[in-house]
Formats: sequence, C-alpha cells, structure tokens
Amino acid sequence: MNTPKNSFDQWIFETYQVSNEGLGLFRICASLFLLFFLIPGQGLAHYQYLSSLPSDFYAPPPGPMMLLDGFPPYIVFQVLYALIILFTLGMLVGYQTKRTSILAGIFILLMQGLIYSVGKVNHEIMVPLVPVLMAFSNWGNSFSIDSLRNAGQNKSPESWPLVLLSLFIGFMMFTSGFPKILGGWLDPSTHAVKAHLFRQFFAHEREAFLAGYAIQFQNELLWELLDWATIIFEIGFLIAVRKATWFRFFLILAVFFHFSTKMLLNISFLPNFLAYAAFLNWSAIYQSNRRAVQKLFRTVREKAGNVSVLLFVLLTIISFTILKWISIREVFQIDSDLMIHESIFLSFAVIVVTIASLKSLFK
Amino acid sequence: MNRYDVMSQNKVRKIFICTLIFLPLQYVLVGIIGQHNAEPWPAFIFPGFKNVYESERIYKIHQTRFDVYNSSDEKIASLSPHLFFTGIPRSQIAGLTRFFFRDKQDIESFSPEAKAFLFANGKRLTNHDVSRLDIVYRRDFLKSGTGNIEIDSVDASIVGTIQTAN
Repeated sequence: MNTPKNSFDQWIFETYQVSNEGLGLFRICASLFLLFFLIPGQGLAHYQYLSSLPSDFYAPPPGPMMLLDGFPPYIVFQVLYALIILFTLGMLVGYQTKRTSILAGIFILLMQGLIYSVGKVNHEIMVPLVPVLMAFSNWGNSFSIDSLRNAGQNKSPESWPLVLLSLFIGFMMFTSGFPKILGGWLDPSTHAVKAHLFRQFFAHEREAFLAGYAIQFQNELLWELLDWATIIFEIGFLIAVRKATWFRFFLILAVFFHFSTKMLLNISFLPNFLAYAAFLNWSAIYQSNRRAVQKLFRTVREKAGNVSVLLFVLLTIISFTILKWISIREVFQIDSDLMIHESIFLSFAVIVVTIASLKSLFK
Repeated sequence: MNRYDVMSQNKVRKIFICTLIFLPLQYVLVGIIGQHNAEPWPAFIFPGFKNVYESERIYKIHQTRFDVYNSSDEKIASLSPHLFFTGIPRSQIAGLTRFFFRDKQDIESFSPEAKAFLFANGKRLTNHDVSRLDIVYRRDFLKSGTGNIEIDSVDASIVGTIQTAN
C-alpha cells in the first residue's frame, strides 16, 4: 500500500498493526467464544418458548421485524440456529472465511431481532458486528482451510476494520453517556448510580456479589464520584478512538467498569468483550505461545507455530466446555440472574488487563 | 502499489466517511422514533440508563406485580411478572412488563389465548384456578441518607384487570 498522506489516512490505515497469525488466532478465539457463549438467546428451549407465546406478546421493535405478525414456528428458530452454528464453524475452520463470517453475523442479527420482539431490545449488536467487520481484515489468511487452498495467494492483512470497530465502540459508548448528562446524572444533589443499584437490588432481585454491602454504603462523595466517573468514561471513549494507546487505555477502564457493574448491579455486558478482545495484541500472544512450544518440545519454528495454535484451540475448547457445564448445571448458586460463566469471564478479563498493564508499566 | 490497493484504499475511505455520517444520523433517528414509539432495532447504541430514580435522598423503586385471585375472588398471591414468563430472560422482563402491562386498555383487550396463557401460569404458580388477575403498578419510596434504608411511602395502583370471559 502507498504511504498515507494525511492524518485521516494515518488514522484509518496505521493506527493498529496486525499480522496474519494474530488475526487468525483471534478468529479462532472469537468463533469459539461465539459458539459456546454468545449465540443469541438461551438455547432451543428459549426458542421453543417464544414460538409458543400467544401473538399478543409479539411486540417487535420499530424496524424489519415489524414485517412479521407473530413469532415464527419453532422450525424457523431451529433453522436459524443451525445456520448460525454452521457459518460460525465455517469461520472457525476458515472455510470461505469472509463469506461465512458475514453470514454468521447476519443470521445472529436476525435471531436477535426475533428474541427482542417481546417489547425489550437488549444492546448486544457487537456480537454480529465483530464477525462482519473482521471479515474484511482477511482474518482467514492463517490457520484456515482457505490458507491451505490459496497457498501464497492471500491478500494482505488489513487493520482498518479494527479502527472501524473502535469507532463503533466509541460512538456507542457515547450514546450511553450522553443521555445521562441530559437525565441529570451530573447534578451533585442526586446519586444516580446508587439509585440504579437500588432498582436492580429491590425491583430485579439482583443481590449477588457486593450489591448487599453497597446498598448500605453511605459515602455521599463516593456515590457522586461514581456518577461523574461513569459519564467521563463513556464520553471519553469517543475521543480515545483517535489513538491506539488511548483506546486501549479506555478498554482497560472498560474491563474494570464492567467488573464493577457486575459486582454492584449484577450486569455483565459479556457481548462487549468479544469486541474488546479484538484489540488484544494477538500477534504478541501468538509469538509468545510459539516460543513457549518451541522451548518445551524443542521443535522447529514453523512447526512450533502450528502446534501452539492447536494447543491453544484444545485448551480453549476444554476450558469453555468446563465453564459452560458449570454455568448450565448452576454448580455455584448466585443471588442473581447472572450466569456463572459471565462472572468468571469478567474476573478473568480483570486479571488479564491487570497483568498486561503492570507488564507495560515496568517495560 | 497495484490497482487493487488504490481502489481498496479509496473504498475504505468512503466506508469511513459514510460511517462517520451514518452513526450520528441513526442516533438522531433512534431518539426521534424512541420518543414516539419504542427503541428501534437494529441500532448502534448502548443503553443510556438516563433516569435518576432519586430525589432528595428518596429512591424510587418501580415494580409491577400480578395479583392473583381464585374462583371465590379471594386474593391468593402477589407475584412478580417474571414467574409468568419463565422462558424469557430476566434482562427482558422489565421491558416486557413496561410494554404490555402499563396501559389499562391494552391489558383489558388481551385475546382469549393470551388470557388463557396468563391464567394457566397463575394456576401453575398457585395451584388454584384463577378467575382474575390485577396488574398492579407499585412505587416504593426508600429513604437512604444517613443510616439504614427505610420505606418512606408506597404508592400502588391497579393498572388493569384481566378476567375470565364467563
């Protein structure tokens, strides 16, 4: 590609550095995360329930779902579910990766539309958005069937989809912060975070983790600081889009923000983590895994790369299976509708960003 | 640099410019539609949690309850709506309740099928035949400023009643 001429071009094409291996590793991780935890709804029983609801309770949000008169038959949900799994598997193994990623995103979006047609939209559009945008990064260039079929003919990896994704995240965070300013969150005489905590605790029975302690907490200054910090964080995200270091710093804040939201309000926003994970330094993760395998098995560099990816996939599948099992079986009881895997993921994310931050601090 | 790269870069620039225009425009549209109707979908927004449910250290807790009456017209239970919609994730229940159970006319014009669904769930939950469901909108005002949390006042009103046809 030619040398970018202006700051706009620099922002689009040079903000992030990506490699085929890093993108490939993220594609595998994102596909597994989707397959195990982020397929819309709560499985076939949820779809069967929706299809059995009287049509009075079909209330699509303004948009394309209004074309339907009621919930479709169960078979439609089953077909959609099968297509989501099929295309996400295609994305995982890297078969016609661009096409399967986009189709996975489209069918996830359709499924979300049906699930949200009960009078309440959940804000999980990051789930379909990530595969659709990342499809254009050529994330199927490595560790994929495509790479075997098109040996030596791959297009170069593209980093601009990451910038576009950061723009979506930044803007959407802004849409969360701006209404709060209009709603009076900055008024020092009110405590909005505390009021939301009360609502979640008493009206929605979200009583797990620190919620029970927090409702007793009386420090006026701290509650007001939380109101202000929330708005500064959410509005600031949009400005941070300009530079990779700023944006990654805000992503670290986001992980702590969601963790504290989980601890206080029992809300996890797990789908956002699919998007946040795209900004991890996957090339460095790949290199570090490869070096570890090379050292451990005393093997050659090329072979070590593939073995490290294989081990990564195996370990991810094993840990996701255990997590899913724990979550479905409700091995640990919590006083909330939060799933146990959501809680574990958020805690894991806090550990990851804390270690990464400390490492970069002492570099 | 080949021709593909030049075209590709121009396309990417156009994609970014369109996105930079599209995102604020769709947000304005979401605001306008949301004022008159419900929140549109799909939209690139996160939840605003705009409202401050507090005034002078009095915290407002809004709740909808389903009061269940047996065939002798005696109140036998006051239940949370999520118990009636067991297949819907809890994260959607508050929105669902707001949408379907806040307007007297909407509530009283449910189809026989929807009424049967609600009564069947009422029976499942109470082990009694259900003759009537009162949809109660309740606001608890909690005082929390200096010490323990205390109930300041409670304001409850029946939004609508669902009755069997006979």
